[in-house]
Amino acid sequence: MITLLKKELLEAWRSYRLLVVAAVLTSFGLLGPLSVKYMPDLLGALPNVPQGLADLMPPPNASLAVAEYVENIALFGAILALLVPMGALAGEKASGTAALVLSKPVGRGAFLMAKFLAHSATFAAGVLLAGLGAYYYTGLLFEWLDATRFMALNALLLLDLIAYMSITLFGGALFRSQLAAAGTGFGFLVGLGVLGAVPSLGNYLPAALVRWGLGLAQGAVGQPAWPALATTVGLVLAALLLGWCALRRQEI
Amino acid sequence: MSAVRIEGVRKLYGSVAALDGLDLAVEEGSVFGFLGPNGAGKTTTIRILAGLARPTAGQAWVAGIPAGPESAARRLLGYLPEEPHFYPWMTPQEFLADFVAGLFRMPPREARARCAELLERVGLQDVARRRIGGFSKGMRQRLGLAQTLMNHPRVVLLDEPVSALDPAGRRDMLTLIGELKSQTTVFMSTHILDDVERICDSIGILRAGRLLALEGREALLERHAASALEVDFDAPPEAVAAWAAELQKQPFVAGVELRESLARIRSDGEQGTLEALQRSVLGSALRVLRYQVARPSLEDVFLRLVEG
Repeated sequence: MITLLKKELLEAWRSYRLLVVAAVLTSFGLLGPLSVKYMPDLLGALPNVPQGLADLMPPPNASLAVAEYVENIALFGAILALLVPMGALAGEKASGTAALVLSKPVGRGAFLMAKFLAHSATFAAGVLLAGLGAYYYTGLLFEWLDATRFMALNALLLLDLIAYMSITLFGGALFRSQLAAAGTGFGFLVGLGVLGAVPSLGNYLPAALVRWGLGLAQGAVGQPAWPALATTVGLVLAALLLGWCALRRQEI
Repeated sequence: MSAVRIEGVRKLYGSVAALDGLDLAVEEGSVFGFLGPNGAGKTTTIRILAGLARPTAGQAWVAGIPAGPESAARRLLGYLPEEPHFYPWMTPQEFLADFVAGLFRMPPREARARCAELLERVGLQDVARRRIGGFSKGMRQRLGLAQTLMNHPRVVLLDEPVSALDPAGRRDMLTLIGELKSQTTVFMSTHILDDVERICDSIGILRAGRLLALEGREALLERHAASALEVDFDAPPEAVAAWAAELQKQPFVAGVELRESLARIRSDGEQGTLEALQRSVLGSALRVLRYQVARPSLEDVFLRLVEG
């Protein structure tokens, strides 16, 4: 397991996976406070902008900056959570490296778990850098937020992304095609979107984690989304367990 | 104890039987050549032994331990697929000394020493720190062989180890495989008969998932010793070809190969066949320079068994 994890982490570094995830999340993380602060000025400076449009925009503040940050990370993080792990299992099965590895004394659960942990670490590094950047610029441009609450927001964002990433890995365990693996994650994302439209279910879905985190970071007193937390953790565990079962039954 | 044992193994893919009641035993310390045409079930057998596939029925053992996806037998074997794929961003040294050795939980010092020894043996010591992504097919195959040996395996499973190589690469690889004889049991599938004839001690011939023959190389060739005849004519090749075409219609003739005026005839090996052939040669009215009952090549035996 340690050897497999080391290999996965080294691969994340050498294949620039870590760099890409960190760069994308950090860029869009920084864009949150920066766009909120400078968008009115930008609109004002542009020619042919209808008069009064800039006035329609709410006055920039830390709360808006955090909301923008959360929106960016949730959206682009979800896209990365589909694209980055889609080849982790499916690609290795299709190329034949999985056969070479699994003919050695390696458990299929360890093979899956190493990939899950390494991808989680990659996303954690990306969210950490994005969070640090967004926290710094929000403080610099608006006001300094409660660091603990902002950290909690990022932890919840990370858990949300790990859930999507786990489903994509599960897709990779089921199929040999990377496209099918990403499709599984995308289908899950769409499914959650549809379920989220049902008011009574919304509080039980991973998206509620993001709303909870946003409220915390904005200093609002709101209901903690414990059911959503339980659902998300349950989804991650279910994806790993089912992925392991699928791999065990499979011929590589 | 047999290094490899297979009993009653059936493997179905839908309604197609890739293996149909395969029984096989390979002695320790031998180089076993597993022969068969494409689709005979050679790769399926090796994948079952390597724990990558499960038989539909029956059981296989490696070094006395049942083979399977989570089997401890994997500690005792080395497996080289037909076209081995590696992580292109790794170097051979990282792949062998860190990754493969780590999977076998080898102590780091032992892993480094074994890696250096194997890289030298397969001639990759000068590229030990180069990325595998830039390697040629031959280099990958040699690295593949090195990774099968990392754990001092009791059994090495090689699936068509030389089929993708050029003649020089093939020669080098076969030399390496031949050298393993004293250290481990080699179970090698191939459809290149010359290679088997060169390095294998025992041979199994598979067709459509069934074993047609299983014995030592010499015994196999000896048993079919009467089945080939070489006749060198002092006649135009066209005349020889016309005679060969007539001869091939005879039921006791399994095949005729012509090289200009030299004919190599494979018979069905039944009693009286050689006499019948002799009569045919004499009746051809062609002048004979040389007439010889030939020791059959493995190809003769293989074609006779597989096509018969």
